Amino acid sequence: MKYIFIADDSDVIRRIVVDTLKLYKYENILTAVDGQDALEKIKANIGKIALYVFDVNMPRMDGVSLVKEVRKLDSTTPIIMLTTETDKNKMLTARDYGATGWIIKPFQGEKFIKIVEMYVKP
Amino acid sequence: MGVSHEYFSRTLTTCLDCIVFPHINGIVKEMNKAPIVSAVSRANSLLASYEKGDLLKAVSIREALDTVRKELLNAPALEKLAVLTGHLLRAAEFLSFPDTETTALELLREIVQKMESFFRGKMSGKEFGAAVRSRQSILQELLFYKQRGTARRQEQNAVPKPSKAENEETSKTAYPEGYFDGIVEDSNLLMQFFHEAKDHLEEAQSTLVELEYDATNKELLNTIFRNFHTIKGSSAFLGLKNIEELSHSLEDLLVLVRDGSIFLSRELIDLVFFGMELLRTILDGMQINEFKPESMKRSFVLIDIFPYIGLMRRILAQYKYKKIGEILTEEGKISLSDLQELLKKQKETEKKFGELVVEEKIATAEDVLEALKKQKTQQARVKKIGVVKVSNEKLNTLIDIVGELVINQSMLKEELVSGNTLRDSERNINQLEFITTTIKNLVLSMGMVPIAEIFNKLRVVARNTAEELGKSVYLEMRGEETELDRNVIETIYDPLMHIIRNAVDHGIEPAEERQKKGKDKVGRILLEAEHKGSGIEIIIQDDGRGIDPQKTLEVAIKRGLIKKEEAASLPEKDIYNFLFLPGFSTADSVTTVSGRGVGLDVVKKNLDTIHGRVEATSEPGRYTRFVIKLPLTLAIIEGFITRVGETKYVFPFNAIEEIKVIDEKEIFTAENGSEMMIYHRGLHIPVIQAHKVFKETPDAAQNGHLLSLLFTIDQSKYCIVVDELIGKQEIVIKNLNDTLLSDCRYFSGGTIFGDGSIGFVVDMQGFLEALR
Repeated sequence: MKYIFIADDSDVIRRIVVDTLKLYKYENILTAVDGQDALEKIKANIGKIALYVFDVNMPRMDGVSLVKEVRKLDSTTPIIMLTTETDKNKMLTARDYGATGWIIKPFQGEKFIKIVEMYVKP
Repeated sequence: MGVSHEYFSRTLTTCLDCIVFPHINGIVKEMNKAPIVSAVSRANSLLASYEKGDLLKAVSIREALDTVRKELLNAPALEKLAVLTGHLLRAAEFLSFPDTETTALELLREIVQKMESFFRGKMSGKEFGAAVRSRQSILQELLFYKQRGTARRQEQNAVPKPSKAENEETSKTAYPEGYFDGIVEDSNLLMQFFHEAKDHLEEAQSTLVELEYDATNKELLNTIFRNFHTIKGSSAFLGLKNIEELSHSLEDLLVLVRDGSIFLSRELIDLVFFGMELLRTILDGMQINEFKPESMKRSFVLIDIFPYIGLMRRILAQYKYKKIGEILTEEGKISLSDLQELLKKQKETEKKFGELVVEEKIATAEDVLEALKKQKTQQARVKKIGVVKVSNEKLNTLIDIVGELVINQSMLKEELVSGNTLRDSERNINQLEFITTTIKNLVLSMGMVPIAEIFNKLRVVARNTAEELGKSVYLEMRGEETELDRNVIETIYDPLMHIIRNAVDHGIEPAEERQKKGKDKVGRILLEAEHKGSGIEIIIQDDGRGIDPQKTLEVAIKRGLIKKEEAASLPEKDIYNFLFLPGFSTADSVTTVSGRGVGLDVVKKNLDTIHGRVEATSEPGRYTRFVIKLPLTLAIIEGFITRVGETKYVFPFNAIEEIKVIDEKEIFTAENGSEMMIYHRGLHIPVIQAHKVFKETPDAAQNGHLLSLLFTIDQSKYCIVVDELIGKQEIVIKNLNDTLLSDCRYFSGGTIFGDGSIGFVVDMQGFLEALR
């Protein structure tokens, strides 16, 4: 079974996302605490990941740049951006780099799963 | 997405056809559409404000569409629109993938906006249907050809290969590889389908039970046809190919029944029941596996539908005939690509295929005519394969009696060889006669059905008509068990229905009027059948206001059907005969039930085709009574044999009024031309030489006398001159349909006489037409 890859610097958000996924029987999850960490882990697991979920504002490398880097390694796997109302412009840039779509924080776990389900089944 | 686009377009078309049904508009106007409108409008506004990449909003859109679908499922007659919404729901999933997002968004905005207009009454169903149809190809492409994002592809790669054990298990089944691959991975949708299909099966089941008693009821047939049609349509969408194929074969069968090509016999009903049982088993397999496609597949492969479908196909093959286009293509008159092109055009223009071919100058009119002829002979052949049920008892008697026939034959042969006495032979021949008669009666009775079949339908007619007019009527039936030739039964239904509707409408008075007259509030109509002589008599009698002979006579005089001075001496029986003339109606007012003009003349015409007669009697204020006299069977008639020229011709006996020997001096020529007439019993009657129609040479008149038969056809009298009168006899009619003589409309058949000579049975209507 392939992994769902979560990159977010906030412990709380990471926890919520991971717990929600586990609640819906998504067991294989990889996490990263910032952009650089994420890129390294992605490089190590290329081909084993079914879905990326990136926060936009992260230390060491922001989510938008991370999209740009990841797309150099993996051009097909969907990338979901987690963002806030204020980052609309960044979103457009991320889309240009190849992000699939974005979710505005805060979100309900149920809706988040409905989105994930579009790309990966548990 | 294994559902092929053909299934898609076929089913989408039916779903759209439903929207454009005008009655849907009516339903939409009447029902409480507020919840639907608000759901659609929410979906619409979400779509309008959607920004690309907004995954949350995409979810909201899907939720909104799902609400729309649920509301539609709650609305009667709009379930079909729910199917469409189901497609939109799936299309909305494509919003979550960048490569299909734009297409999906534009499509959804367009259709959902139109849908809102439709529900707000700003757009007709027809316009809405057309708008959806114009987007059909995009929707189709989206759902079937576009790879939904790239993740899906990878995910499919990731699906673990089935283990070896599973492989072996599937290889044993009758289903080809990949048969179930198209099943959608949406348990909710599958569950919804399950409930829908169950409902339809339930309705089909109760309809089928009713059909057992009323096998030709069009409405019931339509209902059950729709049931399977819907199941077929929805299952095709969901990739449930086994359900689709099964319901398709049932639907095909029911089409033939509905179009009257096959009679829905008890055997066929059993077959349909069996098919429904199979469907139910498959559906249960879905539920047990909690609508999870993978486990559903495992239970599906255990239920083999192919023996059943094969059986259905073999049955259908007997009844199918080819389409004009197919015939033309087979003969190389048009090419396959032309055919497809033309079929496309035909859909747009609604013209007949033959017309189109000639218009487009692809084939000549002669070719089309040729093909039409071919089709017709096929149709004729197809229609002949009907099934008749014969009771065991009758069959056993028949076998017994045939056994005796064999014994009798060997005894006769023995006598011929040994040269035995004449008395022994006579005894054996008497026995042979007895055997033949028994076989004749037995075989004829096998083609008989009890008249109850149509009496029961007439009860419904009476009740419905009475309800329409706000009257209450009781239909009393007697002699329902009387048996009649199947063909006769089919022909008398319409006349009987007409008379009964007339009786309810014109005969039976409204309740208050009846009470004033001291009659029972509830009107009574008696419907009775009984054997009389060599035929059957059907009596329809109502206890209504009756028909006033004086009034009838006045109308007849006004129309110039009879002279005033003759009217006085006319017997009452003949007065009522005027009722059967075209356009003769004494009704003061026209109601929706009986209409105007068309009436009892049609009754008479229908009965004429089966050698039946109808008479009316009435007592004003008390009753009107119709008596219909029918031959037991169409295969044997009472005929009057004559000779014209060198051939024998048989005239139907019941049409002959009298035998008239005409003195040549009696004949005079009518003023307007060459027509010969005689003056007989106060009437001018045209004299017709049968030779003219049959193209025979007449004998020289003997001592200036001509032998003639006086006929009454459609209330007119004719004298038909023949050369010799041979006598009355029971005639076995042989069909001429497939012979060179099939074009001779004035023969209803041929016959072979005891001495081996042949004769022709004259159809009086055709005979008169040939004269004109």
